Amino acid sequence: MKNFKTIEIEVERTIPAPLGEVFDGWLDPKIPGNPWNAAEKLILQPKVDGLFYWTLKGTSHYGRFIEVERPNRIQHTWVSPNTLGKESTVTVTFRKQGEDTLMTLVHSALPDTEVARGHEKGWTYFLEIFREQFGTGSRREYRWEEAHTSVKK
Amino acid sequence: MFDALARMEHTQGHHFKKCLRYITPYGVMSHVDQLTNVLTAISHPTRRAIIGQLANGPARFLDVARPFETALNAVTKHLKLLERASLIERRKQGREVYISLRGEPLREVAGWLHEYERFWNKQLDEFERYFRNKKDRQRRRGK
Repeated sequence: MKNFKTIEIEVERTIPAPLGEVFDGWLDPKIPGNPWNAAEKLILQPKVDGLFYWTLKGTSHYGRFIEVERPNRIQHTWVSPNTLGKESTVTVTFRKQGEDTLMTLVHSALPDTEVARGHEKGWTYFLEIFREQFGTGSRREYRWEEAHTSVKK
Repeated sequence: MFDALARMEHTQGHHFKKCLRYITPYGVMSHVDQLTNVLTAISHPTRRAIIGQLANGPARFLDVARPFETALNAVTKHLKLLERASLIERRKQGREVYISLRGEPLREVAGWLHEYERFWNKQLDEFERYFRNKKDRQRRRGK
């Protein structure tokens, strides 16, 4: 099988809530913003060696929890068509920052391919966001299904 | 290997030498200067607003400057940075000079965005917003 270069993505946010609440929020499908919230079909077992499965617009995602250490760390694998069926790893760490929580999400071992970077569709999508966000002053939301279907113009 | 690099350097001169400084873990990045210029250009909200404005069509300098409360020479400086990144071009039509958007350099920026980079940023924005709104509601209730 062809070996792809892999990349790592790191995203960080300060969440205005205590550590335990943020940790629990990340695993609660009712809280907006965590990956389970928008799922159409969801199976979630947030414990070591527990599995998850969720679908959105027909795209399936699978994974296995490697670490669940309340309130500091969650690590699980992540497999989707965008990882080309390969196992990538998502590590979320939570650190106390005064009254808030510093949350760091690292998604590693992601295939760095043209498809994954979505050059062409990303380009079109990016311009659309620019146009809508700054042209009319309204902020456009990221829409998974739009970014995952090719744009024909 | 080094002979080949030396030959390329000799034939392509200064530009090649410049590119060699940008060897990254993801490979050698050519045209990184252009990417840096584009990223600098879009890093300021006023310049992003100008791009948004020009996305609707070409405009004259005073039309571009009108929505902003900054001085005209500040707008001129913003336009110079956009021009350096090749994001805009000026075209003379009769006695008027029209500024228009050149979207092409944004392609390079888009190429740097991974699908998951967009996805996780959006998710965490939403997650943060949820807790911020919750805190605001609690604060209002406490008053």
